[in-house]
Amino acid sequence: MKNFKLLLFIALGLIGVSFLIIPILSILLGTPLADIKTAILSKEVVNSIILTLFSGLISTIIGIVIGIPIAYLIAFKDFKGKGLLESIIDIPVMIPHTAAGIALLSVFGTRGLLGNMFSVFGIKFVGTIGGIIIGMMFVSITYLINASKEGFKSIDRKYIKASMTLGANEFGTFFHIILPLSFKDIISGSIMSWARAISEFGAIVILAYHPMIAPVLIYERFSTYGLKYSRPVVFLIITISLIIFIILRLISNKMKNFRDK
Amino acid sequence: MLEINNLSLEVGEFSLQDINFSVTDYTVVLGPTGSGKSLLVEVISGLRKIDSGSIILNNEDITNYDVNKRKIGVLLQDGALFPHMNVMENLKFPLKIAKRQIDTYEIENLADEFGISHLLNRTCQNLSGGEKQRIALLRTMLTKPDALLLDEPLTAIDPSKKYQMQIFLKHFKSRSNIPVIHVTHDFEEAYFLSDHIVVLNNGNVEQIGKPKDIFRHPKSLFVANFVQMENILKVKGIEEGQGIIGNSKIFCHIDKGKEKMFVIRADEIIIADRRFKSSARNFIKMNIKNIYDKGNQVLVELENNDMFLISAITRYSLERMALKKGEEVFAVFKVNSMHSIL
Repeated sequence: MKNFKLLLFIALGLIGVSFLIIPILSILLGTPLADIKTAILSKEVVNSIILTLFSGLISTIIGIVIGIPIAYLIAFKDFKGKGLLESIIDIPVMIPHTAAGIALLSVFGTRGLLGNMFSVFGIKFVGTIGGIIIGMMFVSITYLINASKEGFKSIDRKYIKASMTLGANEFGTFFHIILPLSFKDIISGSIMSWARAISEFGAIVILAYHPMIAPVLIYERFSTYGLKYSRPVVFLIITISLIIFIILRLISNKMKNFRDK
Repeated sequence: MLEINNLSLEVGEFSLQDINFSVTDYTVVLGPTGSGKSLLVEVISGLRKIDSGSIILNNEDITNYDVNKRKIGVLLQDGALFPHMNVMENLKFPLKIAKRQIDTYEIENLADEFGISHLLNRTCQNLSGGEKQRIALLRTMLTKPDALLLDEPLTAIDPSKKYQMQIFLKHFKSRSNIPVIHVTHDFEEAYFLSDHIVVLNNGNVEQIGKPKDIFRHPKSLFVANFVQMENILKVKGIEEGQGIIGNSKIFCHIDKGKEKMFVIRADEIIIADRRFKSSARNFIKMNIKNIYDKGNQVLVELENNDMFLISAITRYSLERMALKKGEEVFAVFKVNSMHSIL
């Protein structure tokens, strides 16, 4: 009976893993080499992939700068509306991304509140890299904030107390103690955030169809020319993302997690 | 000198109430778990604000100073060495924060004094409890504090190494000339290390005194129990200087008609096999209930119909008198050995 339960769990597990891995393998193994070569030589494809990775990186960096202070406040301070703030941070995960795109367009569009304000300085979001970054950041910053918050919360308060009694102020304690002790969580959250950013389609297709990031290019090629033309781009973006993702994960896993000690 | 004046603080259901004491030497704040010791450390160090009262350090009111401006060093329970720094980096931390010039040679010399010079390049994992505390104490002393708080510094140390650390703290105490508050729940540790003891109970100061006073003359039932006072007697005065427990008459400092609680240390009760001429006035006939050999002393439980006493004698006395369970003896003690408590 015990063995049966174990076998059942293994079988269900295998179904789950297959469900995730088979579509990826079908792209990686089923795309003709000649098509891949053509895609690599296509300026449009290469530019869209570079644009995707670069915009994802910028959105993650801005996310770190904005998100970490928010995570710090939630983790260490008590204030009215903290629960509400945490719910607001989770909103992007809950709403359809096309809806997010519409919401962003209404704010960052040329007639939107912020779009109008920024246009005074010549900054536009609709149909620009700025729009892509805004869209990516909106859907991905939640992961970064939540991972950093959990990292901060899990630091033993005795280290913070020790730092302050040794003469450090709040700022010094943050940079010398809190940040290094939660570095692994921040990196982990950043990787998740970046991964989420480069995979975003819904919000960006509404805010900045052009210049084309890889997910939009895939959609356009599929809707205009069909599966055959979109597959090589999918192959390239999956391969490159996987390689970067695996390298980052390996680096982050090698980082010391001081809480385990 | 560190002065705590009328300090009060309410935290949820618990409160520190009107705490008053001053420290010029090595003072141990002694109390059971939940008595408010750690909270007291937090408010004196500035990690927590107080509701009322004041904290004065060397005639300067530091009540509203931020924790990093108080010049009070704090040693937390297990040292709280930063795990992402090695031992040397931990020691340099307060100097780096204060933007003071880091003299590695000076740190190495001090590390030698603290017996940790061989650990300077080690990571903080896998250090023993005692090593961690020595490093943390040196790290704290490098801030050049005007007062020092030690929050249960020996709790996280292996029992077999505790004595060494107590000796180390005793040496440290003789070298340092700043007021030290050492917080603990361990009476023996307090007795061994302190110049003065402040007994804390449920957020209140129960008694302040020299270790011997606390040990011999506890002022309340709580302190008596906490310092493991072996004999606590409830006596009813029948005339001035004489009381009664059941049918047993007791000579003690009591007035007629009054009821009082008295404590007697076990080593102040001697055992005799007969009455003899003595300055001790109390000779109470009792039976030996049990004899416990505790290695360095022998505890003899005595009882009669009215009371139960514990006497501490030497093994030599036990053997010389050939005491046996059930034997009838006299418990002998002086009036002045009986200390009344509130």
